[in-house]
Amino acid sequence: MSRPAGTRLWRLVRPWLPTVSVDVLDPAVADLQYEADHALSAADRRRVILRGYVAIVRGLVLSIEPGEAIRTAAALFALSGMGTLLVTTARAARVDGRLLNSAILAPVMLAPVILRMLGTMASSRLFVGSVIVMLTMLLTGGVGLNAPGGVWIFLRHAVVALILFAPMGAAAALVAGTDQEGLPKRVVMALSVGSGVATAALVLARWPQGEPLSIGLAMTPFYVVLFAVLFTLTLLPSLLVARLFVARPAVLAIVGLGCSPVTLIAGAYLDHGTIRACLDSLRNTPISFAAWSVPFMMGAIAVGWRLPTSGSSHKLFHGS
Amino acid sequence: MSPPTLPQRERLVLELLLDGPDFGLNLVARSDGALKRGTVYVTLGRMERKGFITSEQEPQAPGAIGLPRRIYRVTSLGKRALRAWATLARALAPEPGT
Repeated sequence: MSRPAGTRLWRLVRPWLPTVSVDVLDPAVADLQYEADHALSAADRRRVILRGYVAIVRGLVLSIEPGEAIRTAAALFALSGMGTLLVTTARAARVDGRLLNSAILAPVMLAPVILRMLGTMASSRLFVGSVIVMLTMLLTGGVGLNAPGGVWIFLRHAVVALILFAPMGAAAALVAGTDQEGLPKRVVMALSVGSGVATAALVLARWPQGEPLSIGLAMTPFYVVLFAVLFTLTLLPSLLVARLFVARPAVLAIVGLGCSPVTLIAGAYLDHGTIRACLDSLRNTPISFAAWSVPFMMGAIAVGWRLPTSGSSHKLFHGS
Repeated sequence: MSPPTLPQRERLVLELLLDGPDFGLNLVARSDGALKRGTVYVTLGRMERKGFITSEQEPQAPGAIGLPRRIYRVTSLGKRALRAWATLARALAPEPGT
């Protein structure tokens, strides 16, 4: 049996539409399918489908509330402009790489939050907003890809930048979206909370060492992403396996604490470049190294505490 | 909150639905060209949000493929709005000799 008319369009478009437009799409496609099924001939069926598609497109366009569309477009425009300005200024001032990365990441991660405040609910649409901001920053030269080298070099760098930064936008969209609570969202929430706790601890720990609090705060996006990546690679697999056997948040928090040295070693390796340099640092400045490990431990505890129940973890491994 | 309005197209939908619940496509067919396929679902959605009509999915036969059709029916608020409009229209109609 062939697929009912309009099914492909319905599947493709529906996830991206606001509720008002879904209320137009669903009955329009259902009536189109009914009419196409009752067409007298193949030619009649084709005519019905064509007329139906035209009507659906017209209905969808009419269902868009101009106020919402204009607000969203203005917010994306403002965020892209702010991001471009921020990154261009940071590059001109030759600031620390962590600040530069924060300037790129901040608009990408802020976009879903701002759009959510303006009334966009679905994570998929929030993610698209984040990618639009990222693409606009790339195209306007905000990310610094406008150096000489030709179109292909630019495109290659742009794709790499998208691959690197899109997951951050996706995570921010999952956190900000109001979609049904599922395991992916809870895992991302746990990693976000853990990374936030670790970043706050790091910024506060560095404050007495002479680093201005404002600089620490400006680097927040970079550190949140850094901790999230480290926790995902070193902590999350162990915690998810542990979650199959224990369900209590307190126990998982202890497991997280137990695994935190792995994250710490990975972080130290990133900071010092070689294992030997890490060991030298540990030998020469043990107190400083111990203080540096506190954010990792606090973050790992928070990730373990916030992870979902074992039942949900079971579902993750069985893909349901 | 502003009071609900009753544009001409919505009045027509209410009048058609007074005869009984119906599908969007049938309303277009019965309206003699006054309602269009491209706008009828937008109108129906707006009227549902105002509370003038309500809708439900048509029960599907087992094994049926495709989306269930949506059937619309007028609510008591919709009936009252239509009656109020008729009263208002009569009251505002020009008197003979004026």
